[in-house]
Amino acid sequence: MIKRIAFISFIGIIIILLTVELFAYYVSSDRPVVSSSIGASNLNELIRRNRTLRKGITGLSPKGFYIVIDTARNLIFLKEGNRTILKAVVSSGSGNILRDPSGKRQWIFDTPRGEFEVKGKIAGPKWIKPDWAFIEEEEDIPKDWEDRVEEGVLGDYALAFGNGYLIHGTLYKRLLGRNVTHGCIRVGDGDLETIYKLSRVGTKIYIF
Amino acid sequence: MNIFELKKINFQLKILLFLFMILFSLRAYSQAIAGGDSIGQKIRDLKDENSLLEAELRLALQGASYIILDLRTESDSVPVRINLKNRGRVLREFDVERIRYRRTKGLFIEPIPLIKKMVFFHPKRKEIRPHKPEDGADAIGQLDFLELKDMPSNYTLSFGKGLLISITGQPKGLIFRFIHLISSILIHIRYSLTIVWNHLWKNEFAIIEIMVRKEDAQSLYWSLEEGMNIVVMERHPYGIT
Repeated sequence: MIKRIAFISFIGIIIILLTVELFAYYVSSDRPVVSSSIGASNLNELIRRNRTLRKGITGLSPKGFYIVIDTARNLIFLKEGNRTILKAVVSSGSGNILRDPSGKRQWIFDTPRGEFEVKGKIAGPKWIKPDWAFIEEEEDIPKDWEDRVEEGVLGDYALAFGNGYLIHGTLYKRLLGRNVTHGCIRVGDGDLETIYKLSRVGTKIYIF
Repeated sequence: MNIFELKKINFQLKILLFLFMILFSLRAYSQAIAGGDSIGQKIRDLKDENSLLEAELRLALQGASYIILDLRTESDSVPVRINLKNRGRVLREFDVERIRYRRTKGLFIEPIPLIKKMVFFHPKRKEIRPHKPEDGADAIGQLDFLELKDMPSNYTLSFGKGLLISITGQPKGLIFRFIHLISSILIHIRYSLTIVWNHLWKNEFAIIEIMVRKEDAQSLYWSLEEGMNIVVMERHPYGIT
């Protein structure tokens, strides 16, 4: 008796699921809607509109060299049009959180995403250590500006792209390819030199 | 089980088969009548293309990254690609291994914002514990970071206008493939029920089930941010006037 009920229930469930599946399949089928205004459209007008739209989009694309940074794979691309001039491994933001022991401030070390541009080119950059760098190393935050300056840690060149974020060199070359930074982009020496030389102030940077 | 019961089951199966045949015929018929003359088709294609370009232009003007999912390219030779773009330039392409698209009503070709990334376990940010740097040691190397490998490979993206995109990373290994098969069936049933439910309540609902390589699924999760827009181009768009 139990076997029979179980069997009938099983068949019943299968039938219900199949019916749902069939119904879902039918209601979600590719039934095209033929627009009533299709016949009224002028083919030449549509072709003209198509050209204008394509031109509009192409016009928004960056001119000359531009930089693309893939923070997921830690890659940097220097491009011109659809051509890739250089592809290199980088380090980008760790996504870690640092809290001020006072509890008043916290920092999230993400690399910002979106569209940016090179705002400044710096040869022989010096690092002006922000507050978080001292907090992270359990040091007192200095009162004198000079005590914040550290030389040689950012490599030979840096490209500033706003809000203190830089594309710069690194001492930690073995960490290239990993998300270890406080938001900046670290690049190997040779690749950095190429990017630095081919970029100018205003060069677009796309980070995703 | 006696002969009578067997006959009963046989009869039920025949009814089901009959239902299948009717539904398939109706579907084929509706597709057949939808075809048009070549100029009409050209106009329709151009309208679709222009709608897509208009939507993209709106997004390209904003300067934020966006996604274009063009289902028209689906064929054996040309796979569907998920294009991550900014200002009209493709930043990254993701090849789609498998795609299934179902909906109650067609999507308008317009930017749709990502509302939520839905996953069982969201990747958690790690907290830095302040510490003195050790002499000669590379303290950074000892820390734990949020990286691509921490991202999920199976998740659902909930967009506006009732659009859900389910992303699945291609499973590797026999056990994972088996688990994937079972979960796919359950998910499929769940979405079928959701489609029926939304159809009955006349709600807009579309589900795109996408399978990509595992690394691509993780990269997509990493790259997509809430608020980012998508434009989906259907093979047979609705609502274009």
